[in-house]
Amino acid sequence: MMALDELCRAFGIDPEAAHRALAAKTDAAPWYAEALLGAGGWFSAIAIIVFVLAFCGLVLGIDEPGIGAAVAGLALFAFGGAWRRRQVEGLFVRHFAIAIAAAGAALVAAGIGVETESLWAAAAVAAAIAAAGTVAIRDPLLQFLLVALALVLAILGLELDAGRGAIDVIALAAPVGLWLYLHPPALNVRPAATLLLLALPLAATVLEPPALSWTTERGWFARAVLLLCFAALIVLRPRAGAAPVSATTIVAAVLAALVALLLPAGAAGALLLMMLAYTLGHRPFAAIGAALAVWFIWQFYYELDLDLLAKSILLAAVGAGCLALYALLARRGATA
Amino acid sequence: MTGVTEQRTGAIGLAQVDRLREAGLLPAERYLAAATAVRDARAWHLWAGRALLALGAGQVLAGIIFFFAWNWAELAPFAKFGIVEVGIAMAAVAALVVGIDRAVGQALLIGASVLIGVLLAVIGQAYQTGADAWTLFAAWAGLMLLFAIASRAAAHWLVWLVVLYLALALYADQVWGDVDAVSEARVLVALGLLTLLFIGIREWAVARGTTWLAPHWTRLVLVFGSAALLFWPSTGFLIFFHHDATILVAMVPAYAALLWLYARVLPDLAAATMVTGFAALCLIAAGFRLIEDTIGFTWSDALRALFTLALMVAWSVAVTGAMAVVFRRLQRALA
Repeated sequence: MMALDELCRAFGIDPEAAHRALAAKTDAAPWYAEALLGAGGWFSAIAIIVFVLAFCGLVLGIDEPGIGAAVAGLALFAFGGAWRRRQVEGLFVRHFAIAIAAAGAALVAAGIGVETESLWAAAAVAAAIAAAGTVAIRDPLLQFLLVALALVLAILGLELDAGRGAIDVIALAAPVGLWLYLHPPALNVRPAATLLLLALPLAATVLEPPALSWTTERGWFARAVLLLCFAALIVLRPRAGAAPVSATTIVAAVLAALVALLLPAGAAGALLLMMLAYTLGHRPFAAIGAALAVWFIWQFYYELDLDLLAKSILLAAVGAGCLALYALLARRGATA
Repeated sequence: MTGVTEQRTGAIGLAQVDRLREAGLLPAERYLAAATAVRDARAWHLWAGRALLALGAGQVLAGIIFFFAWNWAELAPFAKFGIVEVGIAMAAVAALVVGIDRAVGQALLIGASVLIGVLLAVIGQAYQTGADAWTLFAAWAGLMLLFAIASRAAAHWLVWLVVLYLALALYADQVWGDVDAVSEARVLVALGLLTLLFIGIREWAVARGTTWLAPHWTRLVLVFGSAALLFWPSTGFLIFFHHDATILVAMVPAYAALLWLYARVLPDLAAATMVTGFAALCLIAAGFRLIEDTIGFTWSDALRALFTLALMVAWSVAVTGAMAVVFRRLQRALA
């Protein structure tokens, strides 16, 4: 841990410019408040979508969203985006503008999707809007909502076309998200990177059957991709000034290999989040990764097609392995 | 300007590194090094160790539970009792040897507490008396209380609370199930109000210097538990799942008390924000109910349907807007 002036000296940053950059946002809301207000904004957006669809159905006699809905959506997106770009100060006004823009994007995607009868077309349009919104409007919350829309549509399309095998394709999002977190561009794309990292574990809760890894054909490519991500994190840490090869590094490597080889790929995705949290000191990822890990382990053992005795032996063995790794950490003095 | 002064002298974190990167002051290839430099390495080592310990202990205990749930017929009941009792004794002695103030000692005591539940379940397997399930959880909560007191660990007390609440909920269902005044919604409200009592005890204990209860998460878990337990039955009434309006009489003052406590008495933005969020959701549901009761909603009448929907949109927008205003005031007042 270090103070700002110390960091500026170590990294050759102009201290005055650094103080100005940090002072500009001292009134920013903490992440949990942003999340709550974002949920409020999204709730408002859904209400707006329902109203627009009801208006189309009841007044205009349009039962399904088509080109008309897409045009109305584009207008809403442009209006909400322009409002947000005016750098409005009020927290609520900001969230309402975002809600309008997000509702507009969803209507455009729905209109194009219904008109072409293709989820891929809807996903492509949503991705294009997400890219445009990210570059032009530059609001992290709006970026999160737009990228989430595009990713959900793409994952649904993959699920329809590739079935359970979709998990291997979705895994490719993880290294992209990881790269964007470790090597961030000047344009803030952290919301998109977060979603790319979350895509695999969240999609796996729906797409991946909880089975022992060696009993399934699917997910091996995903496991390989995630193992490469773990390896990249382990290799990059010492280069960034962390201790060369510590007990923690060995434990992380063993745990990552065990989880990737034994559990569903989604669990390895959760572990990747925890390792990234540990590497960067990122508390929200630590909480989300831990919650997802508990969920995957719970679901895995609950659904596993084994009798209770086999499950108990497996649980005790994996638990004992974790405790042995903990003992190794404790011996090296890394825990209290 | 206070923030700037603090940054000059105090430690900075990842959020500040992110802002320096966004401002173009830190090159992308040096971002990871900067994040590593400002990271609290000791705290994160501790976190990794605790996560591993929790994961390992949790799975070993689950393995033991699964083993006894398998109910091995060839193992005599007394052998089963003996194995679990030896396990409890070994865990308790090992905790004393390791030290109950250390994470491993506390994990061992939690393990002993969980094994008490296993022992009671095994006794239930061997002697099928037909007793209600609440008796098992009540006995479990009573017996593990000694270990919880001894451990002085917040996580142990959380496990005890879960077992106690299960016992109370099952008691209400199995003993008072036929009483008209006792409904599922009222039981949830009662548990939510009981959690208010535990919040009071927690704050009183922390004020008197009980450091092991001081971590912030203990407050947040209790506040979330209380607000959520009161939220479900209240919203159930507001969206017509049941017709017990008396629940609102408990919910409104409870939320008001929590907000007063964490906005005025013990300023805490996270806890106050949590309560504000739950209250806003209840308010939105209340507005929807009022609109439905007074104007009504039907798809067959286009004008009325659109008017009702427009009112609902306006109401949800107004409440989320008010929530933002309340939050900003709280943030400035607590800064």
